Amino acid sequence: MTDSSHACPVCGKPVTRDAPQALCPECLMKCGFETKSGADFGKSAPPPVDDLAELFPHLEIFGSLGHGGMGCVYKARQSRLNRLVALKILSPERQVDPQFAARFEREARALASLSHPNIVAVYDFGEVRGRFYLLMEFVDGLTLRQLYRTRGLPPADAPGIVLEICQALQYAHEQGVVHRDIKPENILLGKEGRVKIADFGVAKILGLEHRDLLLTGAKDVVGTPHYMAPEQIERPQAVDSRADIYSLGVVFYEMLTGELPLGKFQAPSRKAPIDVRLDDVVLHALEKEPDHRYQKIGELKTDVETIAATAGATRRPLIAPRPSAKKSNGWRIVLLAGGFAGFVLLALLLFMLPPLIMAPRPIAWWRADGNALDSAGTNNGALVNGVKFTPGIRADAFLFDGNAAYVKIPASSRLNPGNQITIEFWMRAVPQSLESYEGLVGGDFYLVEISNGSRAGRKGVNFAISTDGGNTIAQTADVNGGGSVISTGQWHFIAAVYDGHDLQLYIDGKPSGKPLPHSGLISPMLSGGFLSIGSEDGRATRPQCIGTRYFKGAIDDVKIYDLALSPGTIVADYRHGIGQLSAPFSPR
Amino acid sequence: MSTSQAASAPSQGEGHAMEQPVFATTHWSVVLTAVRGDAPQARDALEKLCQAYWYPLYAYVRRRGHSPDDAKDLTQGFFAWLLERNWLAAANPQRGRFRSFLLTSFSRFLANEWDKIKTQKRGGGRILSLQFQEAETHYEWEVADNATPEQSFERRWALALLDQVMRRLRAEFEQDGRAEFFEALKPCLLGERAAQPYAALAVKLDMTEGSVKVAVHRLRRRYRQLLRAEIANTVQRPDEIEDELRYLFAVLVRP
Repeated sequence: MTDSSHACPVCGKPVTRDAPQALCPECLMKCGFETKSGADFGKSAPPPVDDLAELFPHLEIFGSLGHGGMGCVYKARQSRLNRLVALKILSPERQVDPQFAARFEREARALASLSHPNIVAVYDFGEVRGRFYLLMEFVDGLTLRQLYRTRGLPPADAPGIVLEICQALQYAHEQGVVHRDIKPENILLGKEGRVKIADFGVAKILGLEHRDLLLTGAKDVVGTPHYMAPEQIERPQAVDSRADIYSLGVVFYEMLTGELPLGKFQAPSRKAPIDVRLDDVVLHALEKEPDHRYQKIGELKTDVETIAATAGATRRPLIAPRPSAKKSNGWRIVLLAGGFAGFVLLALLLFMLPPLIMAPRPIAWWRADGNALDSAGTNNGALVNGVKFTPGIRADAFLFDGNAAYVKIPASSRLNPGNQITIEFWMRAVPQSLESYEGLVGGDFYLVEISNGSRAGRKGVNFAISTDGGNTIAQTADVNGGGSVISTGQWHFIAAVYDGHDLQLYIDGKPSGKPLPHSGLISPMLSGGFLSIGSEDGRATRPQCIGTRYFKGAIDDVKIYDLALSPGTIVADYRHGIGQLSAPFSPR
Repeated sequence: MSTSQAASAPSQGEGHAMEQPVFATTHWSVVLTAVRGDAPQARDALEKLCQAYWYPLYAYVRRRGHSPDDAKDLTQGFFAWLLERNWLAAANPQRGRFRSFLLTSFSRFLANEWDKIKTQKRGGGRILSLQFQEAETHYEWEVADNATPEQSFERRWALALLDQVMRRLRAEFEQDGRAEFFEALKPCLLGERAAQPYAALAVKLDMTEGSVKVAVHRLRRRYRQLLRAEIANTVQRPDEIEDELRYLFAVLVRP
C-alpha cells in the first residue's frame, strides 16, 4: 500500500488513503471485538463433575475450585495414593490452534519436571477425549489476591513473600522455564505458611502470548495486563525470564503500597512506611527496558535479602484463613463450657480475635459532611454541583434537587476495587423521584440506580455492571416490584455487592431479589474512572441528555469496599453524626 | 482452599444483556431462504448487498490483469447477470457467507459466462449505478502491493464493510446535528491511545472529562452494534457473526 498520509496513533502502521474515514482499518476492526473477560468457558460450559468422573476413573472429584480464561480447576483425590490433587482442565477454545497438542506435550513435560517447594507440582498431564488436563498438587490456602481482600497484607510481610517467589523463579529460570503470568492470582499462600507459584508456563501452553490472541481480547484472559512486562505486550516473541522480573516488581509494589504502579507512580516508600532501600529494588525491577532491569532474579533476591538482614526485619508468619464469625462464636461457647482451661484459652482467643475479625474497611467513604475523605485520609475533592448539605437531617446528607444536583468524584481518585465490590449508602427518595430514571451512585463500570420502570425491566433499585466498552453485562432487574420495598420519604440502606460471581442487592440489610449470576472480570471498574452520586453515571452534564437523570432526594454515607461483604457484615449503621434512623430495622 | 488454584480470572460470556438490536432478517439470510414467492424481496436484498460490495470485485478483476474498462464491464455484467437471472440458482444455503458466494460466483462467471454474454447485445440487463471512476482512483491507491487477486478482494471487502459501518455511524450523528462531535470522537474508536487525552477532548468539546468518557463508551458500543449488524447482513446465521469478524480482522492484519 502506497501513499500513506499518516501513521495510526495506536499501531503505528501507515494509514492508507482508502482507509474508512481516515482511520486505521486494523485498529477499527479490532475495536469491534467485545472486551470480554476470558469467555473461554462461556461457549462450552465447564465440564460437570459427573462427566469428569467418567473421564478420570482413578480420581474422586469433589467439585470445582473455580474457572477462568485458562481453564477450570477441580479439587479431587487420587484414591489409590489417598492424595488431594487439583485437576485443571484447559479451555477447549484455546485448543483450536493446530499446534496446541504438540505445544501442550512439550510444555507440560517441562512443567512436570519442575520440582521445587515453592512451585505447585505438576503430577501428570495428558488428554482424555479431547480434553487436555494437568494434575497438580493441591494447595490449601489463599491466593495473594484473596489475602489482600480478606484481611490485607502488612507491607512488612512483602519482602518475605518476594524472597520465596524469587527462589521459585530462580529455580525455574535455571531450568529454562519462564512463568509469563506472575500475578497475585497465581501466588498461593499455603496454610502452613509456604508460598507457592501456580500455573508456570501455562500461558505459553495456551499460546496466550501470541499476538492474535492478545488482540482478540485475550489480554483479560492472560490476566490483567498490568502485571505484564511492556515487551510481553509489544514483542511477545521476545519474552525471556526478565519479563517475570518485571511482573514480580508489579506484585512487590502492590504488596507494599496496595496500589498498582500505573502511569507516573510514586516510589513505594512515599506511599507506605517501609524501608526506603526497597524503592530501588522495586523500581529497578520495574524498568521498562529489559536491559535496564535486573538481569537475573537472583540479583533481586540478593538485594532484598541484604535489606531484610540489615534492617533486622523479621517476617511474620502468614496467618491461617480467618474463621467465620459463626465459627468463632461456636468456639467461644465450647470454651466457656470447658472451665478454667477454657477461660485461659478464651482470653487468648479474644486477644487474638480483633485482628482476625476486623470490621471491613471501605476504600472510599463519602460521609456527606463536606469532607470527602477516602480511607487513606485523602480528600477526594468531590465536586459538588448544586448539592445542598442539610444539617439536622441525619446530620449532613447530600440533598439532591432532581434538577441539576449531583456530586462528582473526579477520575483522579483512582479507586481500584478489583473484581469484587460493595457499595453501601443511605438514601431517601422524595415522592416524585420515582417518576423518572435516575442514578444513585455510579461510575463508568457499575451503577446503582433507581427507576420507575420506564426502561424495560428496570424498576425500583437496580445494580448494573458494565464492561470497559460500556456494555451493560449484568443487571439486577425488577428487584422490588417497582417501589414496594423502597418507600419514598423514608430512609433506606442500600448495599450492592458483586463477589466475582453474583450481583446481589440488599435493601435495609435484606437481600432484594435473587443473586444474579455474572462470573466475570469487571476491573478496572474505578481505576481512572469517575464516580458520581445522584446522577446517572455522570451523564448529568451531557448536553444532549434527554429527560431527568438526576436523583431527587437525599443520599448519605456512601462507602465503597474492594471486597464483597457478606450479609453478616452488611451492617446498616450510621457511624457518624447523630445517626437517627427514621425507620429502624434489624439488619440481617 | 477456596479458589486458589482457579485459573486466573473468572470468566464470562459476552454481554447477554447487551443492548443490541436484534437483526431477525438480514439481507443475506433473506436471499438464501428465498423461494419463488418472495423473490422480489430477496432480489432487493441482494441488490442492496451488491451495491455495498461491488468494489472488492472490481479490485479483484483488476488484480487479475484486466484493464479498467474491462473491469468495469465485467463487474457490471456480473451484477446484471446475477440480479436478472441467476441469483436464485446460484445462491443456495450451501454457499455460506455472502463474501464467499460473491467471489465464487464471480470467478465462475468469469470462466463460463462472460464470453457468452459479451457477444450478446448489452444493455438489456438490470444495471446497478456504480461509480467506476472513483473505483479506479481507489484501485490506484493500493496497486503497489503483492497481494493475490483473492487477497485483494478480501481486504477490499473488509474495508468496504468498515466503510458501510462508519458511514452509518456518522449519519446517525449527522441526523442529530452532531457531525463535528463525531469527528472529534471517532479516533477514540481505535483504542485508548488513539485520541487525544480525554481531558483535552473535554476542553475542546466543552464537556467534562467524565462526559467525554461516557460519550466514547457509547460511541464504541454503537459502533460495535452497527459492525455486527453489517456483518449479520452478509452471513447466514447469527452464530457466524463473531467468526466472520475474526476472519475479517485476520484479513486486515495479514502482511
